Amino acid sequence: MQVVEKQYDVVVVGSGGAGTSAAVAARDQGCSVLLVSKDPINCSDSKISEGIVTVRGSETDKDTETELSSNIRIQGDDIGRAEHARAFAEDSQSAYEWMRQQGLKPHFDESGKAKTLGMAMGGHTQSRSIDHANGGLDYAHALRQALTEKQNGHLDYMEDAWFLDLYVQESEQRISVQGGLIYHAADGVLVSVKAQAVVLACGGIGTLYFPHTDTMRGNTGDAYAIAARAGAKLVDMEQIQFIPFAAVNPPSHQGLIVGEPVSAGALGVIRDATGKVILSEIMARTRAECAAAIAQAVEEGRGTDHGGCYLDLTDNIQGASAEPFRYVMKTKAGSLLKVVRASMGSSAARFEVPWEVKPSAHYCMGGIATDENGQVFDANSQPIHGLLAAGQALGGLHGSNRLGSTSLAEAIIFGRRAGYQAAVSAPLNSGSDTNEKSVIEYYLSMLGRDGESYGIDITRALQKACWKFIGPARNEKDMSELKDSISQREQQLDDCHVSSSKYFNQSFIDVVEARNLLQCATFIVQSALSRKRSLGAHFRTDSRPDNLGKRPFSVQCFWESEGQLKIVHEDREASPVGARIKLRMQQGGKILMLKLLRHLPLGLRDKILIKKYAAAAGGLPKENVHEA
Amino acid sequence: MKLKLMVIREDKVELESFEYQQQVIGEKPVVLDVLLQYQENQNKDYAYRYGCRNGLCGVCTVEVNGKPKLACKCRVGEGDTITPLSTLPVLSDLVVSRQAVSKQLVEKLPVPQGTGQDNNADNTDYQRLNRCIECYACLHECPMHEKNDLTNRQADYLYGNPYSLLRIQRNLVDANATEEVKEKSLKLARDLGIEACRDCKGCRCGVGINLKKDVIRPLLFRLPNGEPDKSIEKEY
Ligand SMILES: Cc1cc2nc3c(=O)[nH]c(=O)nc-3n(C[C@H](O)[C@H](O)[C@H](O)COP(=O)(O)OP(=O)(O)OC[C@H]3O[C@@H](n4cnc5c(N)ncnc54)[C@H](O)[C@@H]3O)c2cc1C
Ligand code: SF4
Ligand code: SF4
Ligand code: FES
Repeated sequence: MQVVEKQYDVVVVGSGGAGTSAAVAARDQGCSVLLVSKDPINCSDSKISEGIVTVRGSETDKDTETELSSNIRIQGDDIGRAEHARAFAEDSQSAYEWMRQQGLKPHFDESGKAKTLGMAMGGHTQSRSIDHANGGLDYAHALRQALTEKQNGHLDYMEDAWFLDLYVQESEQRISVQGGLIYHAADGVLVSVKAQAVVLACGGIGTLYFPHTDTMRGNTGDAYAIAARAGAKLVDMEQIQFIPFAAVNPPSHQGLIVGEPVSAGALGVIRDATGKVILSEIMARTRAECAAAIAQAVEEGRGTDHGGCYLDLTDNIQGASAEPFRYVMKTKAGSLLKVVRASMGSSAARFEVPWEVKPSAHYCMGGIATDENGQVFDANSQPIHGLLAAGQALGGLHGSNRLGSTSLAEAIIFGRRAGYQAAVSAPLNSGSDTNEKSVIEYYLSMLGRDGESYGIDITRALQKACWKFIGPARNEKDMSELKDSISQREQQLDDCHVSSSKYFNQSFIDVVEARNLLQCATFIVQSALSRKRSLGAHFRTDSRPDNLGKRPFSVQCFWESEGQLKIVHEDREASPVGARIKLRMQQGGKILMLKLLRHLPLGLRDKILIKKYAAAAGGLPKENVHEA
Repeated sequence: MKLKLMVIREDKVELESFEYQQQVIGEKPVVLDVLLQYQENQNKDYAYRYGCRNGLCGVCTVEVNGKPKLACKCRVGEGDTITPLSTLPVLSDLVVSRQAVSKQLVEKLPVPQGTGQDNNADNTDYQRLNRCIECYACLHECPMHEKNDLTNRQADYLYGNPYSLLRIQRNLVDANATEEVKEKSLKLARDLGIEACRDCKGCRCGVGINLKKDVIRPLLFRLPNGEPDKSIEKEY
């Protein structure tokens, strides 16, 4: 395969919200930018998302920066970095304004103000989430518009382009990045690109759990694996978010998201296979709480045949509030209901029967260790010059639980910061050799290799094991076994068959991705082993949850030498006790309200609910009000 | 269930038979179920695209019995034949090169600047067009697109297609777009060969956007001697 050489100021990897906004930010500083995307341009989690975006103060001015950042930190059990949460709160409005500039249009009220969902998503203390008519498609069209614009700087993009590895230079104990190698499958060449800075915005690891995931196929953890190979430190890799409510059947729908805690209505409950309620007042719970309840029941043998539980929304359609509830769901969760109808039938989509659901891998809270501008850190917490991360690739914002609708905002907030930082960081080149030659040699030598097995075999076996052992429920014994089996699979990978074809070489792609997946499995399992107690999304069946009041810490890892992963713990600043108590009380209050509501006389209950639903839907159609 | 799948490597082209094994009783598999199983059991380095499995990312389009379909949504039946899109150059097996379509409008299509006009406008027309998932199913039998050099994987496309016209029309219904942006957008439509639409039977969208009514006709109307040809009139 031919190796083509190129040079840019900045290379950005990934074309979701984070990559696109980073590339545009660097271009706006006058840089020449190359944006690489292994999926067709802008085809990403950002595009297939629900398109709901956190914007502070979008509902009420009372929503302060402190309230938002403290929501994020406390709901993430304080293991995230305070600086990241603050940056998020500072920039959420300007990030959304930037998306508006690219053509994103929310629903507007009569005064021309953007409408919110009308209720706080699970774990938020304010209603501050803005939804869009076509969900993530609206968001993606805006990203596409940003890349279409003609501007001062220079922005090229390349799709079907797998970023393989970074070129690093080590001098005076300092690592600096000088570009990297790309497989451009559409042109059938390797592209060796030199650059002063690289932004990794290609996060996500859902495919490690396929088919138990609702993310894009390309979520093979490339960002984490590539960064770690270049000497970066990763944080909180044990914290994988499993959304609690995904379809279990048929195979084509398995893992697809069917609901959120907030879409359970005021009266939704989770039941185990025997019909016993295992969690109520869902609406006021976080994703982690719901997923843990299901995982616990399944672990104790009270799950369904498909390894799930039931999300029962039937109580919501008992009285006069039934139609308003249906209306809100249709307008606010239409795309989820489509999946419900297709996988469970139309009576399920009318909420007449409980839905069989199970958790599904959705988001990686962990990621590359950075400062709040996306500057990546090495093992010693020193900056790696010229390496930045943004979006899902970046770790340290969410801690142990990500609040709904924060990720699409995060992508733009940290994408723009990283893109700017990449543009202004002066090139640092000591002139000493980089590992460029050996990187190119490694990938070239793989091509045309004969072997018995293929990358896909290893990936499929790994996915099964990971779902079982580092999925929504974990224990010491299983995880230790998994750890051992990973190294065997890594050896197997070196003997895999790789064809020599140039254009879209699937065997090559599969081996490259299998390697990244295996390394990510190592990060996750070893981090998870070292966090001995359940916390947030990390649910251990062999220990009790971390007791409150203990000092929060983050689990971090990096390659000490080849094949040798080192785990360290870093203490984190705890949120003020007062703030923690206040938030817990607010959530407790919400739960109590929902409990009370359940026991009110039907007529009164309906009255309250109709009012609530009307607020959420921004008014109800006449026939609904009439019925009420 | 027996099916046929096309295998294309370098310059070798073959139709392979495959027997799909049901995974659960009563299963009605979609094309993607077949592709996943075919790769796992019979052709380990089979190249095909998919992303979301949910009809949203738009990357999995293939042809089933000669018609463009989303692999993740289209149910398969006995004897179906699965081939790559015939409207774009093949890279390998079911994977076609999409980049020339994707890049066609870059730095050419003017972009509405600023916000503020849309806050009090009716944005329904705009949002209707945003349903587009960029699956490129609409390129099927488009005479304008067929004028491009479709054999060359690296060629740029001079002529447009329904998708590019949709993006242009999006500007025309964007409350934030100035007259200048609209004029330039229309000029681009002409440069891409929209005249071909005048005597064309019209195009179909994979997710049900009414391309004739919401894209082609309004664009033709805005052009000088804008009346569309009589033949297209009948279609509406
Ligand atoms: C079904 C679903 C619904 C969601 N709904 C919401 C919501 O409503 N609100 C919200 O805030 N969040 C939501 N999320 C989460 C959110 O969509 C993502 O976390 C967010 O979009 C991540 O953005 P990103 O830019 O970091 O990465 P992505 O958007 O995932 O983009 C990653 C990009 O990297 C590319 N890439 C990966 N590896 C490589 C490589 N090696 N070389 C080159 N390119 C590479 C991919 O092709 C892709 O372009 C949802 C997620 C899912 C799956
Ligand atoms: S109407 Fe125009 S865009 Fe549509 S198929 Fe015909 S020529 Fe192509
Ligand atoms: S207009 Fe329709 S068919 Fe064409 S790319 Fe968009 S969604 Fe696909
Ligand atoms: S896989 Fe995304 S549309 Fe088919």
